[in-house]
Amino acid sequence: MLVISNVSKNYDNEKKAVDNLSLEIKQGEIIGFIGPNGAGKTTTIKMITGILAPTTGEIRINGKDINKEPVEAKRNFTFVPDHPTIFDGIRGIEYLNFIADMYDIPEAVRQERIERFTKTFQIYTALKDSISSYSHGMRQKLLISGALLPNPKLFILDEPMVGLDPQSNKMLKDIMKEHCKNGGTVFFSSHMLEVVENLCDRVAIIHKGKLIACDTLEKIKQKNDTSLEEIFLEMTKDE
Amino acid sequence: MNKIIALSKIQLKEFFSKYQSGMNIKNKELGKLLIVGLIVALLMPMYQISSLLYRSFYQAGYPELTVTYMYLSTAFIAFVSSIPLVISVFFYAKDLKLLATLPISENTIIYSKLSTIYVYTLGLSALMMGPSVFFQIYYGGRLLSILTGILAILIAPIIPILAAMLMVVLMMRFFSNKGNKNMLTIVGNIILLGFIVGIQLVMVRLQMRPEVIQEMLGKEGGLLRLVGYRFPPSIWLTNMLQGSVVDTLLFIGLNVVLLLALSIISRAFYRKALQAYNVEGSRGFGKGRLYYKRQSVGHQLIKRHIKIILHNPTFFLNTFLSLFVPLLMFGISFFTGEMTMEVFRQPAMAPFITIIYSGILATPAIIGNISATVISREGKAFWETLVLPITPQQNIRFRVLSTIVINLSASLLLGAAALLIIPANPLQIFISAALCIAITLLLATADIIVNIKRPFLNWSNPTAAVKNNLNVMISLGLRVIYGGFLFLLIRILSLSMDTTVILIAAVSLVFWIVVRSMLYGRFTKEFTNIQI
Repeated sequence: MLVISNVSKNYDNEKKAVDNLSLEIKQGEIIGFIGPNGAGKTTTIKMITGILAPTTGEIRINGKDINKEPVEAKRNFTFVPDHPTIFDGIRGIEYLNFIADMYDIPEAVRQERIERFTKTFQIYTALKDSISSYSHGMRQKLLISGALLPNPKLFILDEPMVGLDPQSNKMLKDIMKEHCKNGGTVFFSSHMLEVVENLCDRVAIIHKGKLIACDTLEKIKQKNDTSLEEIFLEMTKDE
Repeated sequence: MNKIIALSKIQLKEFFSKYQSGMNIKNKELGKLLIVGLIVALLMPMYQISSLLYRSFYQAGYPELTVTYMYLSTAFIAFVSSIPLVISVFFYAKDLKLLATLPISENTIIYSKLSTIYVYTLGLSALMMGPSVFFQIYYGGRLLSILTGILAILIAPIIPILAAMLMVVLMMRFFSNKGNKNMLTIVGNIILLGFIVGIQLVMVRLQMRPEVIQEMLGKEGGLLRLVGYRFPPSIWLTNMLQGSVVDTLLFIGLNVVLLLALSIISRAFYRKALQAYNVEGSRGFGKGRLYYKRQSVGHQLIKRHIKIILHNPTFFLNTFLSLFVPLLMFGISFFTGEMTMEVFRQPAMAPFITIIYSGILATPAIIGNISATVISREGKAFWETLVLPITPQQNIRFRVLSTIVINLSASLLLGAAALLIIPANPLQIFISAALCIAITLLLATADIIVNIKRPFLNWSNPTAAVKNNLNVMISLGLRVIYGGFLFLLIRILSLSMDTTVILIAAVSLVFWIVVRSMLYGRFTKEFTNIQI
């Protein structure tokens, strides 16, 4: 579903934010992408989603190169960023209709999905309100609802749990599992290691722009019989 | 270090770093050079105006009135510039949450925030009043004049700043209660515009009634009163520079009283205005119904770009007020009697009707350079359209189309209004419309290239995205260059007025095709490489 091949990103021809990263994610998997602050997680996600172009390397989503066939590639995924900065001069329902029109979702389908997701995240009654009146968590829920509308093959989330209340956190995790059960794929970054530990089929660890591990939790634990937190701290320790 | 000094230092540093980053110049040295150039460019005309005024008032026997006149102008401009600054520094500042948690008094917060506005307006008053005070000192030659002159420049910004603050606070209280924060800026600016127009009207009417001027000149200190009657502190300031102790006390006293008054009301201002205004997460009462109607991608994207303008007061005012400047100017001119309905109906005007009507129709495209900030306006929300399944060409095209829709709508309204006074025939209307469309297409397309080359997405205040942004100046510069080119072309060919308009339309269309191919070629590549 997602193939990242030898991708690097340099800023100002000097700092290497991502260094020769390769990763393959299969359909139906939930992958947790973890790493310390400044490790290159968000840069990698920005490159996957087409916000940034890689300096070298290639990223394919469902076989489509994000840089060569961006529209075809983008039809296969949706994205929830780490900070819910969206244009907030419109009402919640307008935002969701905007997203639905961008992904060409028929009216009957969009109505059913909008109602389902927004009721799940308890923002249905706020849909008539302007987004500018939403709290951080409500914006996050709106963004997640919008990203789920097209029923994407690949669901990409950057730190999705930040700002969500415990109920919504649980609901999001359930939705992610259900999405994969129905044939979808989830790729998300997080600092919440226990979430990654409990939810993911595989874990990818990035440190200083390099992918230092990518495997199932069991295999990673086989090498070091301890918690993911301990392993993560050990792997990302600065010499 | 004293808390108020420490806080003021940070506020000043933040203010000026934002100002510099608002100019969006990556080269710091170039930025500094530009600021020096700007100061020199402003100082030169001020020196010339002061010199001219000094000579005129000297001949009338009242050289000291140069300072009065310049102080009046400074006070007015400082008041006008302080209004957006007060709104920006107090009501759109993101640091209030942090400042509120610090062990500092409300007075400290308010005075430190005011310090940034003070330094800005002090620079303004030094530039504007400096040359006139220099003349007063140079020709007055007294030591006391030097001291009072410096004092005058230092004190000059206080009254306008506090007046602006009072006005903003009153409006803010009203609109905060009404639950519409953005209306503050919109109504504030419209009132300001009304204020400027009002002063214009009063001045014009005064000029039309010379007996009032004669009466004032006849009284003792008449000329001084005439210049300063709108604002008595200007008379006190002038007399202060002349050595009057009473007027010195009056002028300084007024400023001290105002500062004390601010100190007394600052607690209430902080609690009831600032804190109340900055409450977040307040639920609105959404109107309308939930809908699930399907619309085209283009419709949605154009709607989004227009809503970004409508939603933000700064963008709204910047776009719509400038689009309707000609209407405003016509209104004022007719109201004051400077222009009459008959002017355009005189036979001598007939050959110029097409070019005048074309000019009116094309004004929104010429002065409403909204495309120059179409990417910057999105700020940090720019990522949204980048992850959507649309091509970069589509992304750009609907941005340009949004500008074209706005400009042509404004042209249509202006054109309809202008037909009430301009007797244009159908052919003249057709030719003018052709020119308007050609110019609108060309400028909307050229402007977005400016923004692609200089995107400015990390702004914290919308004012920075538009007003401090050099893109607007560059885009205006392009218009001047293009206008100069057309002028030369017309001079060389010396055609009739109607043919000239047709020629301009044709040339603009050719340029549009060239610029368009550049936009959807190499500049689309640059668009996709914009870093967030």
